[in-house]
Amino acid sequence: MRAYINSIHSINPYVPTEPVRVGPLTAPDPAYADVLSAGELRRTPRLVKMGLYAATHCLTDAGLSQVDAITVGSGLGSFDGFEKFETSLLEHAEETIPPTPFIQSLDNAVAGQLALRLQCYGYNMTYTHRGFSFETALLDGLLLLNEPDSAITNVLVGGLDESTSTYTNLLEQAGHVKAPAQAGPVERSTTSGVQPGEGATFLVLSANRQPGTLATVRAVRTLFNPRTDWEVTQAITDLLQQQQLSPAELDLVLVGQSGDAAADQKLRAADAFLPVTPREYFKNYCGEYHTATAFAVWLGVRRLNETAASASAPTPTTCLIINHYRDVNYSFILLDRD
Amino acid sequence: MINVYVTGIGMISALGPDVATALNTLQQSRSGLGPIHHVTTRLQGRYVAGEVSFSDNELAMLAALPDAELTRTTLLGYLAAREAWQHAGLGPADTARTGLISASTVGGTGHAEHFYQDFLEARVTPAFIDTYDNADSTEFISRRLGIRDLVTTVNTACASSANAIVLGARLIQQGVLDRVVVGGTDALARFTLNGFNSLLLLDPEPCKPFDANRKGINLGEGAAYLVLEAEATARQRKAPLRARLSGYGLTNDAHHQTASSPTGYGLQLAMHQALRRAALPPEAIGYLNAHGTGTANNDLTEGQAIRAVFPDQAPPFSSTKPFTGHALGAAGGIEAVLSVLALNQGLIWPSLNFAEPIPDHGLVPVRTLRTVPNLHHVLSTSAAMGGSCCALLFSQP
Repeated sequence: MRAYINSIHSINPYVPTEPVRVGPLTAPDPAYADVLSAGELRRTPRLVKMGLYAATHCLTDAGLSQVDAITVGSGLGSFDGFEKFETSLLEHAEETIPPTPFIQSLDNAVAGQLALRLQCYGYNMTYTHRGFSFETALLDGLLLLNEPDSAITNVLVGGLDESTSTYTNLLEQAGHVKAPAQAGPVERSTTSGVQPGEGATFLVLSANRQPGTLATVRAVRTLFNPRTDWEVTQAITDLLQQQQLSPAELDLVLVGQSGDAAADQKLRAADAFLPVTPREYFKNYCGEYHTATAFAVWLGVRRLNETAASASAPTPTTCLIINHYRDVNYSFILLDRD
Repeated sequence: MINVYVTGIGMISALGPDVATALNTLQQSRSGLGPIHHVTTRLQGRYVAGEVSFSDNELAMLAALPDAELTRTTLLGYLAAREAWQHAGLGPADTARTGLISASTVGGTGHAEHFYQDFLEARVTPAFIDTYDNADSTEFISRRLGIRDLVTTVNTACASSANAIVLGARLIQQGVLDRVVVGGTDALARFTLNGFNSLLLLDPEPCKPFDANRKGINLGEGAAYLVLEAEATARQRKAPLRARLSGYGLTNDAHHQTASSPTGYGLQLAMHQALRRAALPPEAIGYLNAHGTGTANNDLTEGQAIRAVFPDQAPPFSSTKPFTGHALGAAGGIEAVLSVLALNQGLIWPSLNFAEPIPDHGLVPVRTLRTVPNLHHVLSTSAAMGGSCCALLFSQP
């Protein structure tokens, strides 16, 4: 089961010249007016704007005006819609509340509005499962392309989550955010807490290899609630074996350590278990959020397509993404440029 | 293609804490709707709802989990999933190549809203953000059942748990899993009551699906799960075969954020897909458990979709929402369980409160409990805000 990434677009906080920053990482808002009318700009919540923008650019890059299916992952969905409607409900003592924020609080708003804009009557799914949200959307895309009776060629797959001030505030109160004084690269962290992040990434997953194909998705695996680091390394070993790869054949590893030292322990062990291939700790760039692996796929695709910096550092061809969310949701995504 | 069988069902709803109680209540044609008791809301006394008749504490005692701090959504979900697991004859050693696909739209909102006023006023609150999301209930159930291989949560609004069933079936058909617990859970919450009230979609009286004078929805709550197994896995362990999931369709109506298209086009496509996958003609359907929410828009457009898919004659159909209320993310799961029960019992559940057909399509649902000795195929439909449409086809094993 493999498929091609024929285009990918991401809105994210990554600044290549400034890889490590302090405080919550936010994605600069692009010119949403490029893809939304004035009326849509006014009434569309930010998360949906991010999704529509990334998806629209992704389709343009792929030269597509239609897809056969849409699968989206979002850990939190529209928390902003919840906040607005709940606040309004309390302010108005449950009398005559405007319904718009309630409609906007629906987690399937992004996939639904994409279907509406594209007039796409096909398969349409939204997953809201913490660190498995994007992974399930990607896995579902692979399943759709692989179905025996399938007439599906192109699936629009997305992962997105938004950081709002209220959500960040709640994360802080719950003890999940790293103190600014302890900020630093996630891989050297010895303290608790994470740097919250956000982003929206969409890709066209296709059964067809094209001249413009950017990468191949070879496998997606999830592992729920492993008890030991051995289970995590074993999952990686199994994945590589199934793909007939030796660990030495990996030439890029993107590691999703979060900066919460205790929660990172198993992934650190997995990181140490893999040979000394080049690696990057992607949450330094995008922060920690439920669908950070969607950003990691974007980063991996970018690295697989960069011009080699030098003969001693050739462009990688096989990239493994290993991630965890709060030491519960472990995932592994294998990409290559064949 | 690998055949997918239903080997266990579990459900908690306004009809009772388990499937046996629900069956008994249905056989007496007794609705589970009533006044709201357990949700702190100013709408208490103004609307009827399909509440599960136990307090959170009573649910915790039923689940034998008095020490855990669990949201109502999680308690409901765990009780129904445990029943399905046991009904399938499964135990702690049956977790290999097994997944859990659960759905929720409300998640821990009902818990979060207890503390939101305090949070706004900068008072100390529990970390409600950690249980606010839809995955919280899924992860608790997975841990309790020991399921590790594939765990995820669907939220496609009112089609959520029907869509979870579709993903589970596909994972088995493609050989990713041998067994999967599928369904959904949602607790009634002040948030959703006010949401549907703000959209002017709530009927203060018991709802009247497919009636010309229908006034809207009664919200409900609950959880329902099915155990799906690959044929070889089920036969090898001599599992009870309750039904076969013979077809499904999953589409989007692509018409409007909150309203269905005039012809129910997305729902038509979903029903056609389900029939095609099952290789059945429309006339093979012996009972259609319709979405039938009781809103002006749904029952008009769903009726048109039924007319289009069944041009010669609509199958016997009903909406069971006057029994259970509309349990949102759990609705598709509840109705899937009721569809399997209909097959197993040879019974068609009546559409309560119906008096006069909608002039545009003139469809008349089954109005009293009907015994059908040869019920072979049951179709269940779901439709949702955001355009999600789903059809599930259950057949005799």
